[in-house]
Amino acid sequence: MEKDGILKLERLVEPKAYLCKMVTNRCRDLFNSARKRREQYFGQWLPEPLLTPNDESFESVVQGELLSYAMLVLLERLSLTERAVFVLREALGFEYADIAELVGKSEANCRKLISRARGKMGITPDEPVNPEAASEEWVRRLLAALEQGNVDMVVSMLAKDVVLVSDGGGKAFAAVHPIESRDLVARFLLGLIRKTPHYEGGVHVEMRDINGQTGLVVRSGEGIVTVALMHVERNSIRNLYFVRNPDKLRHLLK
Amino acid sequence: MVAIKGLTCIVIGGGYAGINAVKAIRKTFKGQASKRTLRLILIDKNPYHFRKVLLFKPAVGDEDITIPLTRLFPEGVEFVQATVTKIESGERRLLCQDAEGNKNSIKYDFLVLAVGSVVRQPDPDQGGMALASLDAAWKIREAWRANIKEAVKEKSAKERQRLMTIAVVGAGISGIETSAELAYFIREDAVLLGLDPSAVRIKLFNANKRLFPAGPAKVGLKLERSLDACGVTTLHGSRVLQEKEGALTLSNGETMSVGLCVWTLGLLPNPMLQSIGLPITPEGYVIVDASYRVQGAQGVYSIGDCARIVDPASGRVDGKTCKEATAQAARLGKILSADIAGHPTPPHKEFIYFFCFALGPEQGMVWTHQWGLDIIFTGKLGWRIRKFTWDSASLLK
Ligand SMILES: Cc1cc2nc3c(=O)[nH]c(=O)nc-3n(C[C@H](O)[C@H](O)[C@H](O)COP(=O)(O)OP(=O)(O)OC[C@H]3O[C@@H](n4cnc5c(N)ncnc54)[C@H](O)[C@@H]3O)c2cc1C
Repeated sequence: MEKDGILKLERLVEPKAYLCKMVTNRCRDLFNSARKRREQYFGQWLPEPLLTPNDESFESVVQGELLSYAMLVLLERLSLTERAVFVLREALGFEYADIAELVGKSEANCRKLISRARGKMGITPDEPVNPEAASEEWVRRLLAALEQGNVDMVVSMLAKDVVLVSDGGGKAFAAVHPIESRDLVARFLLGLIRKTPHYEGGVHVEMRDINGQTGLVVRSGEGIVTVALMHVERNSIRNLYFVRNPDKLRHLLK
Repeated sequence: MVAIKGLTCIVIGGGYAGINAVKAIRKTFKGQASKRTLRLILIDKNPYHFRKVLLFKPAVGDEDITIPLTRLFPEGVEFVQATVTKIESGERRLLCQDAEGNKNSIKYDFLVLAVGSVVRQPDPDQGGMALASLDAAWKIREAWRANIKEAVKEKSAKERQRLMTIAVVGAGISGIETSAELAYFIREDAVLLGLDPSAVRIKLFNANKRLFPAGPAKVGLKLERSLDACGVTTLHGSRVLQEKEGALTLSNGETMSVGLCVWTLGLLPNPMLQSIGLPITPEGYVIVDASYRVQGAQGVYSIGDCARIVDPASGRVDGKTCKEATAQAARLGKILSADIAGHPTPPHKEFIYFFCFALGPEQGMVWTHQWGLDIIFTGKLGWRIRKFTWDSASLLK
């Protein structure tokens, strides 16, 4: 993107202004088209899981894709400007007045943008932003509880307001709406485990390093069918993400 | 009861650590002004605060990167222009010498040593020019300007190319920023002189395998791509041995024709620390505890590039850049007032991981790591954040 800009640049009278404009427009186009795709998406939308640490592809937070899955899911809900002001405030601790100057908006506007961003991410005003990726230990414990069909154990590991989001993209079976509440999520998970014998050749679950954390890769005879990631908060599972859309899993096979 | 008396606090060094320490100390003492009066003295060998991190600017243009210290602190702070030579901590006094060579001694109750670092220079027989001082920056600018003027008249294509080629040796933040800036401004001048701007070659020599070893590989890669886009070629794992009459010799035996060789080799602790009378590490940094107190010297603190500061929680040594210096200075204000009041002092905490790079005019990149994410700002916003950090470190914000 930047390269194209430089090539044309040399032929232009006002290269700098042109370059800025071109890059801005291009980013906006990319962003808008991504958003449009998401609006027309069937069911819940989740970002593509990335294997780590070998995957070095990346863009900036202001433009797109990152590591820790839970945070990524949250940031994906924000507009470009919201992301920028949110990160300046929450990650770098800038003052509102300084943020206003940096992004060229009024201070009041920046406060609004940040509070809207927090709202969209489901973070209350005085709650620190700190989604914790589940450790390997956690993932192992949950798997063991599920395999033993230990309902009480599974329930005890889930937060009261746990949310499970599945992304099938209209191409794989997935819950169209998020599953909320401890009981429903526990029932759903145990149901999944009971269903596994119906897959041809059975399923194989393995732990992999995904988006810088431990995730589960579920394979059947047809290949990878699900990637599951979770986020732990105050010692219980707050979010579960099931990526099932085959388009988002294909790159993991390589 | 303790008698109420005035206290004298001296800050040595008007660099980033020093001026921010003065500001922080004034701020914390304002609240307690009724209890004790504070005489605050700032000593620097120069009459100005030198915005060292912008040293690449006078290497390409006319920008003034000094700010008179009396302008930064028009009131409430006494300024003494002198070079400090010795600290006699037993007597709580320091010895210094003014610009005319007159020797003096000054008593203190509290002393903050922030004499910073000096730029590492190559041996004189290695040739080239080190970006080490204002004077050196001006000379570098003169040299490349003379070169491209000569290139206009030059008939031989090979010689013309040599004149339009610059080697920047050392690919730390300073080398990265300097090469991006040189690429931009030399091209601009080349256009004005009717030369082909794409013939301007800036080669950045990196002894490491990649750029920015302090951060993830992808950030180094992204930086390299951005440099490439502004006309800077990065050569990894290559060491320059010397530059002589336009020929650069590399450690692998290769030679290369260049019009100019600019060294940006990083920093060394201020050599005067060796003889100032305080304990130093074998590398030459002042030894301090977690509250910046100098070992065995009552009332003496040290921060910034000249001190070796360790986070007691993680055991990591603090970096030697402006952001650490300013964060330490802010904490020092609280430490001093706590020490005076006999309260527990806040211990040092390492600064969040956060790096900025300028990549030519109005272009920059910022990297931080939070929430398990690599967060990167690029382009204009990256540049604005970069500029913001420069300005706030020099109290211009
Ligand atoms: C070319 C260059 C580029 C850099 N780029 C960056 C960057 O991009 N980002 C970044 O964060 N950091 C950068 N740094 C590092 C940064 O400049 C230092 O970390 C910072 O200056 C440290 O501040 P300080 O106050 O400790 O020391 P200094 O800034 O070195 O200040 C020391 C002060 O003490 C005074 N002094 C010294 N000896 C005496 C004496 N005996 N008596 C009286 N006064 C004395 C000096 O005149 C000076 O004013 C760069 C450094 C250089 C040289």
